Amino acid sequence: MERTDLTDEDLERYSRQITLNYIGYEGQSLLRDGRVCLLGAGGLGSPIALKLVAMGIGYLRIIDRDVVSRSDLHRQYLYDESCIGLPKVEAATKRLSILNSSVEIDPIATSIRPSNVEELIEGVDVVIDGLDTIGARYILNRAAVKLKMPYVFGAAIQTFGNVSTFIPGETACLECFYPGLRDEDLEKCATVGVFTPLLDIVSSIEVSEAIRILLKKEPHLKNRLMFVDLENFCFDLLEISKNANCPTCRGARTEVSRSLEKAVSSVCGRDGRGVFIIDTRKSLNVESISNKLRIEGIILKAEGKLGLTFEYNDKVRVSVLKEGVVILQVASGSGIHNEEVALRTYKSIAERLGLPLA
Amino acid sequence: MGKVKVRFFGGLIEATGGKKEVEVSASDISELLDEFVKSFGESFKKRVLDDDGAPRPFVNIYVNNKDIRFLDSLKTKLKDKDSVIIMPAVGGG
Repeated sequence: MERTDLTDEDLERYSRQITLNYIGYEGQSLLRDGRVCLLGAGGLGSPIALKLVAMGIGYLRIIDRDVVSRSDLHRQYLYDESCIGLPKVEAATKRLSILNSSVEIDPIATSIRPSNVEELIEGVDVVIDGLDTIGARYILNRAAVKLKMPYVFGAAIQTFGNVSTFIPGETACLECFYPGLRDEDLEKCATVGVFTPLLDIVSSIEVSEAIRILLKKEPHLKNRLMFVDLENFCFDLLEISKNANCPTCRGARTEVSRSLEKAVSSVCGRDGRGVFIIDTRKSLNVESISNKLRIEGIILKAEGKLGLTFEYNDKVRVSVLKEGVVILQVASGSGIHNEEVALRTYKSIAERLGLPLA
Repeated sequence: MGKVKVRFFGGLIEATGGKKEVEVSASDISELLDEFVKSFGESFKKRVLDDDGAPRPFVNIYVNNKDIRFLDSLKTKLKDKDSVIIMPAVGGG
């Protein structure tokens, strides 16, 4: 494909990148034609999105299944108070489009599953990790290896984090050096917290690696795991290698973990509430749900094109996303203490409001 | 047998009773972990090792910044002044 020249506006807007030898005119043209898929628009994903869009990549696909909560705002400054209850990808698109209208933003409000991941990540130059569970990362890793898609991995908790870049066929994959992990064994941001400056460092290194891939430069973190700990002020580069016995790299992995395909899952609580995510896997008509809620006299807390949030009663807050994800935020005393009860509660809500069953 | 410096990170610091850095003499990683079970007791053993005495999947051990999975695992030899890092996998974001 023949590349078009940068416009006068591009030359002005990106002048500090074009005069930077490291990027230059040619590099800025490569960025403008660059296509990136970001999975997760939370603590890591939101600063990643801001940097990629500000720097002028051509296309950013953002995939996330959550809505904005008050407890996100101290670190996810892509969002503000007016976004609470809106799907993150929708709030992100609005902000990013104002930041740089020349970047094509493609928001998808869905869960990442073994059955949809390949479609979600196809057609881009690199996928970048803003996820918050190891289960979702394994789904992404397996698809990236299969599709030979470069994958910039990043993770952060408390004051420490990791970054590495996986080039399928060339380097270690995530499961070469982090095999057999279960989310229940790992610490979670909602219970042990996370330090906002750490997220900026980890996300910046991730963006730097993704940009190197778009610039056709060798990533720095091939077969290296960067470890950073801001409490102890450590920055280490740890050596990892391709594992000859890794079932993912050998293409020998065929099973799908049942926990990754569950219809309902309990996730970290937020804003003092327990949270259950129900994946109906059926597209929803947000406008007709909104109308039904009005008829039923239920007050909407937030309403967007890709989803909405409403108070079902004083104990249960419900968010519904267009691609079929439903989030139940339940207050203590609601009696909704496990996934089974959450699913039963959702069934009664769905029957009343005409929502699809999981 | 080598006298090595070991650094602990994250939640594993709780397993050492709050110690972030120790110096220990051991000939390999297996012996090093035995020494820690002796000095830090049951809390270390339960947190870091499985029922067979092997490190749990989320525990990562590096000798001179190299992941022992790609060296000789628990039989990775230690010599004087080697640096050992023991840290949990990071899954948040």
